[in-house]
Amino acid sequence: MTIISFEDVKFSYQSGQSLQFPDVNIQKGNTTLVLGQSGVGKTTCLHLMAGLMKPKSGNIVIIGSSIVQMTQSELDAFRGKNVGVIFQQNHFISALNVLENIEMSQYLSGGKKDTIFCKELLKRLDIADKWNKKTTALSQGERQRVAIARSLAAKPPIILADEPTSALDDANTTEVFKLLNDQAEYLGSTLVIVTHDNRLKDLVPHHINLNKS
Amino acid sequence: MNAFRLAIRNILDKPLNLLLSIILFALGVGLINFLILFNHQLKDKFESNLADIDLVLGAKGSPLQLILCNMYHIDNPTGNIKIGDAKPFLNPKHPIIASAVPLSLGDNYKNFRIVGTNYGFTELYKAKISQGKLWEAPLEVTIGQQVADETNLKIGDTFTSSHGFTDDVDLAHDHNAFKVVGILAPTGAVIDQLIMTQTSTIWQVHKHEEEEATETSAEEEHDHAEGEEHDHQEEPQVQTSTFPLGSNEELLTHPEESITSILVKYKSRTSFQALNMPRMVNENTSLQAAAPAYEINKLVDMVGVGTDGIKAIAYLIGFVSALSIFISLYRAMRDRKYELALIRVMGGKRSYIFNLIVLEGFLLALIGWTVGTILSHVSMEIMAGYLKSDFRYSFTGWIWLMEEWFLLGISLFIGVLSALIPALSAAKQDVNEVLDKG
Repeated sequence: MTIISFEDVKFSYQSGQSLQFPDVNIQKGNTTLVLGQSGVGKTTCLHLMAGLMKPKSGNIVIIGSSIVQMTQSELDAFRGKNVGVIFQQNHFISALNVLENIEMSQYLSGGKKDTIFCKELLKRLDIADKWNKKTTALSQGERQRVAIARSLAAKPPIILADEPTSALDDANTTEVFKLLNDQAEYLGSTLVIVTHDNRLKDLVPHHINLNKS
Repeated sequence: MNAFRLAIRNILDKPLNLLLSIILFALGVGLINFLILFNHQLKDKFESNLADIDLVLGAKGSPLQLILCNMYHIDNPTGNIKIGDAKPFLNPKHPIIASAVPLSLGDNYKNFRIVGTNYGFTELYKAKISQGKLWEAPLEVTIGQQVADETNLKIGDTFTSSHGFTDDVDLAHDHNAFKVVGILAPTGAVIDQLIMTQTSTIWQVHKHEEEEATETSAEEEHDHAEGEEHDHQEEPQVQTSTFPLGSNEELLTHPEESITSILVKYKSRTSFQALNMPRMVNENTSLQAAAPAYEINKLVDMVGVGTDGIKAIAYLIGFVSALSIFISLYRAMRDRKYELALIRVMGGKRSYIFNLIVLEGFLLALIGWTVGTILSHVSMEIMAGYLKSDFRYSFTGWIWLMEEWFLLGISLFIGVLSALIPALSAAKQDVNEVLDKG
């Protein structure tokens, strides 16, 4: 079953520069890498998949719904429900503690608050004892785990990750990938990683290459 | 977590910013509210003491002093006037005067003024007897509620007065003991702090002084006592006067005696003669006439320059505190732009972001207003203590005025208004642009 598809998607930046994306068909449950050198529009691709941007032309279908026709607030709600995003830089709501940040994702997606599930996620990510810490008091690695937990909290069918391993050494790269992949599998979510990190190539069978057009 | 709870968490997360915003806001609100409380009560005091008195007649001097002395009892008399000189104004058949109440000042008991007058005085302030009765004989006094409270004088108690307006044992009139025969119910006006007796009592007390000093015969005293009920130790007097006790007609039989002033009420305030009367008196007689409303307005105008200055400062602080809320929210919005973008990514709508920031402004204003209002009431109460011991003016911090609700409304409006621009720009911010740079 196709969970994300791009059909003849064109995007143009405000500067006038435009990008042509290859047609994409990501199947449910297939962890997929979106690869490409810097500047080929990897982050733009991720933002398009998340509905944070709209293409100039073409169609994007996520879980059977075309998102190019949606209004801004429909998109916000759709994304909250269906897509979990992990960014390159991990930002949190600084006034809230770890657990509250994760619960916030459930609240904003329109779902029920499920503290037990959130705590279970923290446990699976091995940071259960940090639940009441401020996110500013965490190490970089811990912050990334909290970001992963947050992206999973609303049990979205799709998880998008932007360069999750680019700043890590080889050992940690494998570990973080495994963490992400295991949790996505556990929830039955489809994981899409946007990266230029070639180390991940060997770990993930499905690749999409973005090239300069 | 809904926007309201997140707003609370956000403002608590930066305690120093919170403190600064709230201190500024509370100062503005506190100062304005204090002025509201103070001015309201001051105006109340002045107005309740005006007691519909249209004109005060007394010795020549400062008109303001005449008013302050004879209506507010906070200044010294301008001097005394001879009843003979004031004859026409005391005449009950005067064509434009409805009532004329004579006042004789000069003595005090524990700093409470003793006023020689007639029953018309209690009618001016609509004072009712709460215990005992009004004075009937010389040296009998009826006291105001505050006098009773603070001196613990009760009905049947006697005391000796002291000459002048400050308590001084060396100036005690120790021959004449006043006797308390009644206590008035509280009115909120100046009469609460006065000791009232009949005019002749004051004459009698001072006559004794003179007699002792000059060793003259008892002749004079008989003169002054003529026509009065009077249980003096000397031979009983035959009442020769048929006038009612304490009436102005009775006073008129003693043209050589003095009083301090006359409180006048016109029959018609707007009649041509009434409007002309102060000028007529001041130009053609040895008396001075002063209109309380006019003099007090003049005084309030003069004092008003001071309160206007404070008001301007209060508004300035109000403006600065609005600006501080604006700046602190705007900065917080920029510092938190990734957070706000994240909220959008996680499914939060633009309206959630907008509400979040507006609520933060609202909450800052609400807390600031609450702190400021408490501050103003507490400081009013503290100041009331000083005013009471210095002027016997009973101010209080424990009142709630309609204007304070308006101040709440204005405060919240300012809070929301200063949050509006940060809230709009946060709600409109482009999520992917922010995240791209992250």
